Amino acid sequence: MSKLKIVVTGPVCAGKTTFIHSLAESPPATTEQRVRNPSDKSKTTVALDFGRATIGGHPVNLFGTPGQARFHYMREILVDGTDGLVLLVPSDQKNAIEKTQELMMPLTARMDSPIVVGITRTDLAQRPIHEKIQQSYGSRALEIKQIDAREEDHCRYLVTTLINQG
Amino acid sequence: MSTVEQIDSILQNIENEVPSVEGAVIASRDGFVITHTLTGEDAEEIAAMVATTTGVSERMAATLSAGEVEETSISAAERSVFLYRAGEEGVLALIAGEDANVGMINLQARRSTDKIESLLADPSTAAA
Repeated sequence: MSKLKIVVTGPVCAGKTTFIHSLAESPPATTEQRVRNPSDKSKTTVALDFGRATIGGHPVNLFGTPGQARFHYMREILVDGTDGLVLLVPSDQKNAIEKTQELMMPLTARMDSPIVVGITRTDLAQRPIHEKIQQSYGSRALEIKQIDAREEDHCRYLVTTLINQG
Repeated sequence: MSTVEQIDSILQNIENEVPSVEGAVIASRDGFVITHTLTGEDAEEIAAMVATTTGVSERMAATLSAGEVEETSISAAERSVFLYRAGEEGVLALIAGEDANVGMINLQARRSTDKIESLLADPSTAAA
């Protein structure tokens, strides 16, 4: 069975690296660097995360992207040839929808693979973003669901949805 | 002279000593410009890429149990880019033209990175 390539993206602090840690069979390869002017996090991904998983019997390579606007080119490189995209949107951030749309625009233009959306960090703050996400990605997303990126089952559910319906 | 001005004068000195060096950027590890001498290019974009490339180099070195990365280079047809570790805080990127003397560039860069490292310890450079 050929390996599937799944990309995990979303704005800063959405839980992308955590998502890959939750699913990876062995410790994933990460490129986290210390943030020089720490605000809400102390480390940030500058290149990619990479982890391997087996989901529904399929071998899957998981690629996590950076979240900051300045690393846009890494997202564009990583979505090339992807079989599916996991979009994580943090519900505790004020501009999460705007940041997500900005980040997704160049990606949706260059890929036609399916998307699933995980709304994360709902334990910290619940902004009513579900409807806005539905408006933006409803036609394209196979699933839009609140998840906890620390929970393996939640992460597995989203990737399974991508694989089965994609 | 401010700390950033002191770093700028180090970059200027490298360019004076090695004429094939066409530009220099000091990037933070997380991909921001600390200072630069570029004129034609977008320094913010380059600084992000310096952090990404350094991040991948370090990860590859760790995977190969190769120890600490001192330098990463990209040799392209018309220009080359050399990335040097400047302590925990920063990376020195030198962009050189076609006729680059790699030995001279390495020598000047290694002479400079220790000084740059100690200047970057000054918190005023973090806000740049």
